[in-house]
Amino acid sequence: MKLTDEQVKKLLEYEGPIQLHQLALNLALTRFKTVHKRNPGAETVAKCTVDLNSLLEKYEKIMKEDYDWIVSL
Amino acid sequence: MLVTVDQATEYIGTGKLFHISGATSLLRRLPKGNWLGGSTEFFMDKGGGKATDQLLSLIEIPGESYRIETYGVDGISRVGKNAFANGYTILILPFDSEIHSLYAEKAAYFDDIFLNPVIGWIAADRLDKADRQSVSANGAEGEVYADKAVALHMSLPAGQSAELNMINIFEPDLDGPSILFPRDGFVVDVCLIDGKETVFADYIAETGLDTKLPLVGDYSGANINISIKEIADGKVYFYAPLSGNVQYRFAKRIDDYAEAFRAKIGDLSDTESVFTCNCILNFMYGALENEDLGTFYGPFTFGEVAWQLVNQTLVYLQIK
Repeated sequence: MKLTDEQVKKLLEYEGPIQLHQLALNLALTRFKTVHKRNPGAETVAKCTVDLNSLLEKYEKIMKEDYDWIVSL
Repeated sequence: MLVTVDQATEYIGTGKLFHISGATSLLRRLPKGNWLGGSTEFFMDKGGGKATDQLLSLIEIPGESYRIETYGVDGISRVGKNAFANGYTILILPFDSEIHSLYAEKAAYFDDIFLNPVIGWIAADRLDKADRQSVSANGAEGEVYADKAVALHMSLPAGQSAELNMINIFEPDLDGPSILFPRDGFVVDVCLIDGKETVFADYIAETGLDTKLPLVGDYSGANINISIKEIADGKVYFYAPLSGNVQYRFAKRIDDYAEAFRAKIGDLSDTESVFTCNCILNFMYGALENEDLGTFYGPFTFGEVAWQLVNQTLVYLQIK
């Protein structure tokens, strides 16, 4: 359950209604979006990808639905 | 459960691990042992909300492999990294301290903060006491701190995991305006109300908005509350920092807080929790004294921690 930099970039720049249900993901994504807005670039996206994938890997069972939504963007 | 100092002392003597909250004067009388805690005189207990400076709330925390650590301003950024690979952290910060402000503003950006649940609360002595001293307490050290946070890092065995959830009875009023703030912070003068630059304090005065209602922010799909502390000198002060990158709306009015909580709790399939806390503003504004909220027992608090600082919510931790 791993996201690519491209998928994460899409998520960071997505401005529609967000369909995530795990609170850690909601808060982490808010942080990542803020960081990306203030410092957009490949390095920021790569760091967000690493952090996001760590969360998704650790909580694979309960975050599967949220992962599926992200990849559907 | 609510206990006297003598009873708490006996429990501590068993060597089990406890979270203990109560008036600062009572915490200071407890012996060293396997416990951590902080100041409050308001509690969720059997029969509902209680206010007392004579009793302590004692919660036994299951687990064998843990550390109780004290964090100062220099070290608090490592609270996420210091957690066990599989486990959770309970964190207590003293109200109105430098470490409280620092955590509120920066926690979301700490390394590894979201990798394990961090649940906790802001501890405060009664705010109307002239000689109040809000403290966190590290029972393992036998110390209380007005300027440091205390954390329990718990390790869970393989096959178990911790889940942190929030019960927020407030929803954004979608009939009201969208509000954006120019920068992060605890204090606001101007903001954008539906895109128009406005002095926020003036807007609240002109519209007669109920300042007991929090702002509800859209944090990437999660409703996070930011509560109003006071309006003074043309500025609005909050109990948690606003984000310049989040859209807020005022919350819809709630007529019966207890019923609203019971409705949300009734939707849960599992209400067994290791630790719970609820916002003091819900106790006060929602008249929760003696209102039963099921088996969610724990302190009423002056800010809650669900990884980062949140307001006017009930947060709870479960082991699955």
